[in-house]
Amino acid sequence: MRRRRELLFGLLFASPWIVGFLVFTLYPLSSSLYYSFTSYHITGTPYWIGWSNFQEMFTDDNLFWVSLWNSAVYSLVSVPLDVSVALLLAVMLNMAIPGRRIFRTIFFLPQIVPGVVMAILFVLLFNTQDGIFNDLLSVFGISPIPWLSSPDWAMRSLILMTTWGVGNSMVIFLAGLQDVPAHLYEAARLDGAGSFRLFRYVTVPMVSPVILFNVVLSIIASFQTFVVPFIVTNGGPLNSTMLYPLQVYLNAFQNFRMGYASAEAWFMFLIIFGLTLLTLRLSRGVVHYS
Amino acid sequence: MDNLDRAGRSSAELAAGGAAQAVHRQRARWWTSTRGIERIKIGAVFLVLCALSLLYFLPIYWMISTSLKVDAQIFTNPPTWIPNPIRWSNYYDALNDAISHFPFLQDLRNTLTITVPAVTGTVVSSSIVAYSLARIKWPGRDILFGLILATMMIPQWVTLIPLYIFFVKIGWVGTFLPLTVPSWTGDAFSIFLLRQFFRQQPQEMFDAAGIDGANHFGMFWRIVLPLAKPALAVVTLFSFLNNWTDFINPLIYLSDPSMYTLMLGQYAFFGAHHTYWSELMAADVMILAPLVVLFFFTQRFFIEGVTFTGLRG
Amino acid sequence: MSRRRKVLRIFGALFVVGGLLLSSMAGTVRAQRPHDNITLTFWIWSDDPLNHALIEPYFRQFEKIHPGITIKWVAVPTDNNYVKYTTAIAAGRGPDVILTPNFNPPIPEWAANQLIQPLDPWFKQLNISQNQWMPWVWKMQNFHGRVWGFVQEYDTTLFIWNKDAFKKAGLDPNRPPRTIAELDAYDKKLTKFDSKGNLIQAGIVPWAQLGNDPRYWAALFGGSLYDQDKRQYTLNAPANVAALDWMGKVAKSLGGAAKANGFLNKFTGNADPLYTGQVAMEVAGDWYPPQVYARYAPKMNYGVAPPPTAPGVPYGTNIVIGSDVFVMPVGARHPLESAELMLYMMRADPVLKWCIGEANVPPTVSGLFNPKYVQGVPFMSMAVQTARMALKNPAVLRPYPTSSLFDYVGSQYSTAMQQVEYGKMSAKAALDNVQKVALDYVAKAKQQNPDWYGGGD
Repeated sequence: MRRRRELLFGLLFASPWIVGFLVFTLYPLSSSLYYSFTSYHITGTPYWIGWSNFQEMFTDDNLFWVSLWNSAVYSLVSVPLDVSVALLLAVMLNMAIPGRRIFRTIFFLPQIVPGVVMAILFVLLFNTQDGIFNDLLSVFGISPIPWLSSPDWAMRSLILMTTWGVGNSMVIFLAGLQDVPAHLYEAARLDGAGSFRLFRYVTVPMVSPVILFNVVLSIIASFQTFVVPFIVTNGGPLNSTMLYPLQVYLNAFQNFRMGYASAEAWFMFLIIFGLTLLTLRLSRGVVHYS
Repeated sequence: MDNLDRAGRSSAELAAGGAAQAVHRQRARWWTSTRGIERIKIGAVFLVLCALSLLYFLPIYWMISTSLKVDAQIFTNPPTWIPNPIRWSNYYDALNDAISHFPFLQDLRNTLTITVPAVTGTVVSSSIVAYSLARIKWPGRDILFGLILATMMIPQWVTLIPLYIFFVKIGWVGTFLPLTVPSWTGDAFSIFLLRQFFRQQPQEMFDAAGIDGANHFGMFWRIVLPLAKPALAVVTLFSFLNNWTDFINPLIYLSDPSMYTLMLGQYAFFGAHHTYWSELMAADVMILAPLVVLFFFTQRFFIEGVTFTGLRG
Repeated sequence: MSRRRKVLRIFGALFVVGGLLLSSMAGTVRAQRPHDNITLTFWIWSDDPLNHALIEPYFRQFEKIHPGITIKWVAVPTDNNYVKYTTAIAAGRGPDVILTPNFNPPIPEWAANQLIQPLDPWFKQLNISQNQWMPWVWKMQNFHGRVWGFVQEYDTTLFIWNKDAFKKAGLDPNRPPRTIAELDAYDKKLTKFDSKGNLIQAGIVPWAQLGNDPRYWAALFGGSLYDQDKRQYTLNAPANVAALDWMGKVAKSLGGAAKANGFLNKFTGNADPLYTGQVAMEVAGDWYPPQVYARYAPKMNYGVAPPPTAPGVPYGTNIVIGSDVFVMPVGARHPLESAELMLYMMRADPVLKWCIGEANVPPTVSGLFNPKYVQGVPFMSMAVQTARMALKNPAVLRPYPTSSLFDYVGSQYSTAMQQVEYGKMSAKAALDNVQKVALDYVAKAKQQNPDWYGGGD
């Protein structure tokens, strides 16, 4: 009886999303899944070609593996980097620093800056001959790094660029840090713990659900963003920054191969889903809930 | 989950014992030097933040300084960091059709007409759904959560056309409805965020309320929501931002320029073969300023002034 | 009178009046001309007052000649606009006329995927003839056996040099290089390195700005990427290989592509390396003098000339680097009136007004050879000269490829160019590879859409 009541309440509270899913999401999602098995050029009628799209993806498309590899490297490096930076910033901005409200706003600002402006800025910073970074390095006697013009460095530059986008994660961490009971810090401090041990044994476990959240979200986001890197490096040099989501977009709206693009999108879904499941499973022993 | 309970209990014991010792230690001198160490720590962090914030502030600075430049200074090499002369008239020009028709107030009104209902809908519906996922134990709950997560993983490009065709069929294209109504069915990101926060809330409070005879409605309204103020503030902020800066959806669902939003309106400054950069930046500064103000003044809702009343007292 | 009766009386009166009005309107409807109360929706990428001033007077004239027609101007933001167009047209919510800022994409893609409709049905009715347009423009409008739109203007390239930099290097500031050999010689004098081996000034970076268009240097060496008549790709033709070989050589002389690209402000568009003093010569579009140099570098002392050519290629050879096109989407509600409007905009007057105002090239015979054009934009006289040469020798000015796969193939070609610039592959190997990729891609397209790709792309 109790179980049935819980089930009803559960469904009741979840009903807004369920209704929304049935009305707004199910049809588009199933359409796109269907399209991935068809040849569909947006205005014509899709016709069934079975696994051909997937076959072509894996065996006949030189850009597929390149972009997949690039996106994998990009995600695997930028996700831990960005989550760590966001957490550190949040911890610092949670302290009694003078002007912290201004600091927090400043670190959040790049989130609202249009992609075009960020692209211009990255060129100013990463330009090999006159860029600000290389100017700074030359002060220390380090020779200029070809940030954007060398195929080896371009991806690294791209990963660095994403750290400007940690504002969202930082804000979420800030909110999460509020829920860490102050008495835990006091108790640990009285035990003689210094800053690092406080961070490692109190802060991190207490915000671990939030860390998990940000990690999962960063994984998903890293497989969906392509606009700013596209503007800055145009996928180059030599396709070193050609990311997978860009392929989906180009195939959908420039090559008009909606069926093929859908196949690529659903494959990407499998990868993201797998990575997320893996992350959630790995987190079981590590994340603390009340 | 057990670990945390144990950690909490042992710390409480320590706190009780330690308090007595603290009074004793106050008389000794190392308490003062601890404060000194605190000050040094804060000073160091302050310096680090100053250095980093220069980098993070640069994009906005570029926007503002370009908005005040004359064209000849925008793309110089090396870059001109301080405009000289400062051309305040760029802002006037951007608003008064001197360069291009940018109906700021009209677009602002349209943007608010979309954003306010959309944000309200997101917050209300997402918190309801998140409660179901976090605080009600029912079979299939985790599957639903997985499904919600999964919907975030498909890029919008491949679902854009079927969704658009659906909205055409029900006659919503050309109105604000496709931009506001779906928000009332919950947003996956917000649901996920709130679920995590709701789950973090201490179980003791719910057990106590359950014993007192509260049902789900009561627990949701009186316990979960008040305790989740920081998370709700975050959701409000992000939802506001996303709707304010949304480009693709207003682009495809609106075809009448009198209904355009601010993000669409700024394209008035993308000319035939060139971009009116200084006026565009002036327009962007005006479009984004409300977001900066919003963030600055709502910080305290998700950062300061929230006391964790749960386990104390 | 009781309240009820009063109400009935009022309603009765309303009925009578309403009926009278309706019937009178019906009468007037029947009496009006065929164009009654039609609104033509016109989608354009720009809300620029300049563009309004160049087009709207003619819209108003058209409305006067065709009473009952109103034209509504809708500016569609340029970002992701193909997403907008595609979703709208696919769902039957497109406009009546579109003016696109580019030719390929989207015109051939839209034609291949039935997003725009051919204009042939109206040729007889509206007395349209092929001879209104220059031959290379006609080839862009007319492919796969049908006419897909009207080119409103086309762009060619200009070779620009910094006269002060020439003077400093001891070169005659009024004499640009006319052959590739001369270009190399000038380049040697103008390229300067500092003590550490970094570039201070480059003579020319061939792949900067519009030089990055795969067709550009190939054309100056006498080659072409696409055979319009045979509908085939000719990516690895010997002339193309020669052009790319040359680019690889220049890259080496600049210290390598990584160095050269690092040296340039890589951000394209309005950040231009010529007026920042980084290069002495560059390949620019015809819109650069009024839109870029005049705005961002009003004091620069520069010269304008046709680009230098390889031996055997006539001086004055150029390419069509882009164009604006009027098209009619599938599902246009008033196709006849839309076609009339598009034709109206092809008259000499509107064409000249736009092309003088924007410094573009008129696509029509009545526009290009009209003396008003050169009076209005003196530095575009070279475009007129090129056109006269091209009438006799089509290889001088090739149309923009009408292959709907050119976007993909072009980007593969760009990658090949980069591989040669970075010294990773030889020109011949890179282009042989791209040709193979292109042929495979065309074969794939043929499989999936034999109607369109049957006779070649």
